[in-house]
Amino acid sequence: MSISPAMRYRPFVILLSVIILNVFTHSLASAADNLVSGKYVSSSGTDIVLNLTIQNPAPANLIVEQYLSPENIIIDTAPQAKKIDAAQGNIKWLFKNTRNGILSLTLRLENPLTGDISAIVRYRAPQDGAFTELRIAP
Amino acid sequence: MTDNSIPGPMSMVKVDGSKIKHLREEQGLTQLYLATAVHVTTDTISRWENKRYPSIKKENGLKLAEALNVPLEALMEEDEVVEPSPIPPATILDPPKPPTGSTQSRIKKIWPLLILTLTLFCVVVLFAWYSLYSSPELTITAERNAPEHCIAGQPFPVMIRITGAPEDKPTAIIIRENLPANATVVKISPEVAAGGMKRDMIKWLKKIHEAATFAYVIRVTGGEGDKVGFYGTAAISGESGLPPPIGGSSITNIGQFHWADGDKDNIISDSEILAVHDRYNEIEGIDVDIDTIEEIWLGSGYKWNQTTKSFEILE
Repeated sequence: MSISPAMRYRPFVILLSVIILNVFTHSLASAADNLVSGKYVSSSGTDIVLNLTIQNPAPANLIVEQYLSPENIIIDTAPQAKKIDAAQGNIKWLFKNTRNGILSLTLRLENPLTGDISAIVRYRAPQDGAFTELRIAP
Repeated sequence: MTDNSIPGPMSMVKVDGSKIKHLREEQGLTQLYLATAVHVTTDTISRWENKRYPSIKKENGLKLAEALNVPLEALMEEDEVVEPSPIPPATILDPPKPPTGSTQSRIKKIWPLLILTLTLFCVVVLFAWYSLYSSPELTITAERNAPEHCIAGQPFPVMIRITGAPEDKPTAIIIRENLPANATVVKISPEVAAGGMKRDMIKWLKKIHEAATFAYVIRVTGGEGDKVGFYGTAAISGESGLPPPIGGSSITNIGQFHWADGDKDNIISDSEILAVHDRYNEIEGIDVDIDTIEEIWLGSGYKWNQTTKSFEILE
């Protein structure tokens, strides 16, 4: 019995379709997971700049916490931080009613940064309220 | 002489037209006479006479022969080739039967029935489609969000979220929320119409699109361990039958923990303050004392002072 070329390649076509669909849905899911991403634009010197990119749908509220060595003296923050714990080297922001786009956070230090710096962004996913934590390092 | 007839219901014979004409004229008969005798038209007689070997029904051939006072064989050509030779019935193996007159008439009778059946089928399909997609049954979902615990005398919010209303047209919703006997209402959002607020019940009648949030802030009295129960209904205005009860949380326990401190660890964590902001930021007119909650969140913890009736924030 002869098999037509269309029948012969049918399983491969189905398999390929399933793979493409899987990759597509996975990429969509990943995009939904990464509603917020962050990058240190400047992580040395006296001005430390962290840029957060917020995707749509934007989380309604965001908490950003930055950690640096306590020996660094913080002169100013922009936007103004909710809490600065100089003894622990911990700065905390609370952003309400956030919109999609880029959110820039600047730390001005008295002297060039010594030691490491890192940040944690926390938010609840707008779709299901799932608490998400994102760690950022230079 | 060979048998020129075809057996079966439609036996045919081949006659000699010139013989018919010759015999008729010889006897002084008219074509009309023959036509009347055979029960055919004069045109048919003329056609038989003018064709060399017309093939006619054996029955007509016999009548024609009778009218001309000759045997049927006398009208036939001796060496003529007649219709396809007959197949003995015993050798026929279920030959496909051409539509006979009765079959055709049966088909003619079935056609209107088929058309009627098809029309009915189309009507049923259209009705099913219309029922499923054009006028879906409207159902709304109502869910209450009340904190698991509260402190007696301290205000806490209760939120009722309505979803499932159509997006494209306003839907009138009636919410009846029975208040606990030991409760005092501090705020309501959205405001209720005159008569909508009673001592033991809040009644909202509002037109909404797709989804809406109704909320109120209350204070309750009672001792530690007491339970505050909630019950209410939400329905589309004008719907018959008993309105369905509001789902979600229905009990709040009176204790020593702030209502925003979900896990009762005397700390308002990042996830807890985010939940407060996410839930109550958008509700206009609802003051959940966010400043106190933020102060507790920024501190390292809190403690409820029963004597001063205030929160002591730990630095």
